[in-house]
Amino acid sequence: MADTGISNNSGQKGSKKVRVKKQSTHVDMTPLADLGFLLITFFMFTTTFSKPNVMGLNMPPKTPPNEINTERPEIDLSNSISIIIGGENKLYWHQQDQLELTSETLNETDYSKEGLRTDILTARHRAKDEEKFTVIIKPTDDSTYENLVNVLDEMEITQSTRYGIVDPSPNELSVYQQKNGISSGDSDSNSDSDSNNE
Amino acid sequence: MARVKPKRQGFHIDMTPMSDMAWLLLTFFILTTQFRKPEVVPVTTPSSVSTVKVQDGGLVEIIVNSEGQYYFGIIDDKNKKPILEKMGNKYNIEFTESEKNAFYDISEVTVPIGALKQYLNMEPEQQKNNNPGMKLDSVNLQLMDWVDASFEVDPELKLAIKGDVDTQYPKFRELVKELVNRDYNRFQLITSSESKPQD
Repeated sequence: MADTGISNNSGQKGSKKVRVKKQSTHVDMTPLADLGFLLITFFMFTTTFSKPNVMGLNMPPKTPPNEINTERPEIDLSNSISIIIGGENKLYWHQQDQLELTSETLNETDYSKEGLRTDILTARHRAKDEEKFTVIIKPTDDSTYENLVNVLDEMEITQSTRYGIVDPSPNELSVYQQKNGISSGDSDSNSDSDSNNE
Repeated sequence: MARVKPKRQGFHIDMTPMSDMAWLLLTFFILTTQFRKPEVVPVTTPSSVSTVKVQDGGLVEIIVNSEGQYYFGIIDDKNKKPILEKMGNKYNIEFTESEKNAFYDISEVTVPIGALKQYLNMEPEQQKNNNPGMKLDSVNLQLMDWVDASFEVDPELKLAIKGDVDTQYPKFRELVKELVNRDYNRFQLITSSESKPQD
């Protein structure tokens, strides 16, 4: 802007009166715009990332001790799947009655896509009544909060709307411990299958 | 004769509207951003595919860190004073006005109620190093009293639980058990976001 002003002036040297050049008041706004956008970017990133997500969790209300139903209702076992969350990121599932569970019928799985997700989906397809298909989540004392959230996450992904969190029964616990004791023994084959799934 | 050389035009775009717009947006973002008070308790939340964002207010949160210590966070500033007064009444602790004001500046209750008065009189630097958290078992239910006090102040509150990745499940079970015992059945688990797998 300043350059053009000077060349204009020198071109009109012949005129009688040297006109006072009207100084342009234009300020280059580019750095200001740059700075503005830089700050915008900063604020946009800080706003969106500071907000964590939430996951709803509803627990059943407590039942007064005199109203606990001791009768076992008739349940079709294919309509439910029990997931036992073990320690060290281990995961097991079964579709047995909790009293008849043995270490042969307790299946080991993992948190990968081909693991738990596929197990839940196939179990639901096998179910006699898919509408009533229920996932029973049984975290053991060895599991972590992250394990639980991951399993709850799978409920969201597989769109299993009927699920509940309960404590594993004594029989399930002992079968789990027995199974866990065996599987931690041959750790070689275990680590192989883990790496395949990842 | 040589061609008249076209005068080299300085190529200038007027940046004023652009910078106007930039600063306008900037002002908007500054005004809408809510700066969180620095978190005293470092917690790494597990990730989930949930797309529901945590709400801005109307929330109290219980934090369980990886060592199994419990903390109680009040998100809304306006609720802090009444909740503190209620807790003071319950435990027969008289809080002075300056202690109540100090309570505004902390985002989480990180000490047992007995040590709270002393904690509020500390310098912020000292407070940082004094976060023993609360215990929770069948005889030590002051965390539940905090929750009760909050819901007495504002029954519309939501209860959020923020657990660490390494929090042991029994700590979470204990918390949920005691909450259900006091008829709080709906929780929001705070997680960080993760993209939903496309199938």
